[in-house]
Amino acid sequence: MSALLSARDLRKHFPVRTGLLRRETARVHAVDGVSLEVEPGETLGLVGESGCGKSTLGRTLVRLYEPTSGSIEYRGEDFLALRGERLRSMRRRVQMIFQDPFASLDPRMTVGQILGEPFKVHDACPPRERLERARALLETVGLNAAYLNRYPHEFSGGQRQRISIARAMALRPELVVADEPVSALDVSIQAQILNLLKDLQDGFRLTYIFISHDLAVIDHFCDRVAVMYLGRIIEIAPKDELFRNPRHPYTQALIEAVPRVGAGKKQMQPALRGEVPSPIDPPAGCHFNPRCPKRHDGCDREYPGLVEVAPGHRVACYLHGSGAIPGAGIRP
Amino acid sequence: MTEIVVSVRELQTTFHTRAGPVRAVDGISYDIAKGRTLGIVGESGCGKSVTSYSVMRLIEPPGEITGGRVLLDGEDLLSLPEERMQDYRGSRVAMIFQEPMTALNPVLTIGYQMDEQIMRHMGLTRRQSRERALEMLELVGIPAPRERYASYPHQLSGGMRQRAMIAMALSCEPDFLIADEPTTALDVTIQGQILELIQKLQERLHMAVQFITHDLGVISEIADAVLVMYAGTACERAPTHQLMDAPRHPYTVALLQSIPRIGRREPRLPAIGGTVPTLHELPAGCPFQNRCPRVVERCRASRPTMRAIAPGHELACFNPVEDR
Repeated sequence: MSALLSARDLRKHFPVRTGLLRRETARVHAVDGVSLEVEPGETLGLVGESGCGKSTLGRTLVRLYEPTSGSIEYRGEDFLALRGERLRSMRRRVQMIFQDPFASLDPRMTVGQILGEPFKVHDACPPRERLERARALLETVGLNAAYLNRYPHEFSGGQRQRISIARAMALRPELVVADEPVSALDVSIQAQILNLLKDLQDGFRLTYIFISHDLAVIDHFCDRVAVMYLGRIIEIAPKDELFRNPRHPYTQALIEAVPRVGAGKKQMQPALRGEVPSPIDPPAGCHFNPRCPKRHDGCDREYPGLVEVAPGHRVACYLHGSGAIPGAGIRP
Repeated sequence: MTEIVVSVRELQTTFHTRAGPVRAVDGISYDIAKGRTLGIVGESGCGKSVTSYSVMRLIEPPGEITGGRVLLDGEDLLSLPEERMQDYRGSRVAMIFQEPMTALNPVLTIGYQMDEQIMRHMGLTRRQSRERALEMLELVGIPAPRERYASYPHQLSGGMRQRAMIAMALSCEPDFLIADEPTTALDVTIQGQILELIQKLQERLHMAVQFITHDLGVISEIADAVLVMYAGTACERAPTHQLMDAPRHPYTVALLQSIPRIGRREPRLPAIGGTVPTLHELPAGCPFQNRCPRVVERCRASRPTMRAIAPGHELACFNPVEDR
């Protein structure tokens, strides 16, 4: 199977400007050398803590951000070289859903106008059909068509997220990047939205890139999972493999840290000490080494590359075959 | 060990809105013993935060506490004069929040804010209070406490700010701590650190803790007992393991089923249909009736009240899920 989307050594750096002249004094290495492939029909999860670059990666993959360097291919075509009409047509095939349905819906537009907008922008149907299409979309996401004339503020958080999902589905996309789509919702509503996204995937044969900080949601929803830390993928694997057999000490800590329902009151033992360092000046070598419980001398010299340790399971850690630890003189 | 510190009885808080009065908290009762933690869970708008603010007497118009008692060592906080309550806040009852800037003043240094509170409540000199503040900053695990003492809140990371707020809240060794979603905005590895910290301080100070969260996993790991709230009312209260293993209220059952868990494999989550009714449109009878799979005639006619079904296990339901 050939990949729907593949990224090579993708980087997105943001300049930090200070002083009167707004000179660039530093760079945030939000995404710092990510390569990945997304297969048609799959759900690839991106997981990690704040500042790991998962949202920036998602936005860069759909060209909401222009990458600093690297390449993106969509169905074998150079996505970054597309201009004009070809780019517009590509944008119909790639859509995004955001975390905050309050911020992503224009408060001055009715639901009918919001859902009619994609058809207008892309001239996808005659103007008189727009309302009919909007009505159908609302029903697809489980909302009453009578809501067409209402404004976003009249809806609950869950309903608003349904509206933004409906908008993303308007032009029948192939790939949807969902950035924390259920994080702002209550648990009972979260389950409804996850089920809806699953139904839409089955109905429209969608491919998802699903971004979340919540490992339980990732485990439930995704087929494959990429774990990010400070702008890089540190481990990627099919989800069963990742959750049963995590190799990277960071992935292990992350899974360990999730509070378990029904575990019973216990003496809390934090899985990790310390905080995520700044992406402006990430630690040398493996970025995780200052917090890593298994660090060796040499982990702070060179960044370990991703190495396949099992079918489809790649990990960037010297403990797992990323070559000899630089300068340590031993092979783990 | 079962020395009751806090007793809330039939607490009722009403908001006077343009569309008429609504009961954000309606008849909530619970006890918390010394050194124990009660978790309060529920979804947005269930009244868990309003309950906490009511206990602290921090409800402002159009809200008003319209009934009940909040007993701290037998003394009713709701009938104290305001000046007296001000003395109690911070010294005997403290509160920590999801957003630390709720409690921290952005234009004053961490040290200054802590000193003010310590001097006021503990009657110490500035010099002594500085000692005390530094000791607390160290206790909550803030590196380089002397530097942080002189820092402004914005100079700290989110996790550190949360620690500073906790240091401030606990500097006068309160008997009762209310923690309102203190880890919700934090990353999961930092959450673990803060939960450990709260637990450690609780053991040291023997505080009764009321821990508000929407996260059932967090509740499972830190609470001795859990109160489940829905639309301003109590549904179920039980020791944590009992509530998690054998919940009886249909809402508790549905809530536990609807959350994804690591390692549980099912293509679809059993979601709870519909949405929480707004407080204006609450039906007569049980507030959960319109989403409840076990609704019976009686649920629409009258509202179930909490009754004991086992030691420490209370339930407000006419048709509870069978005991397994």
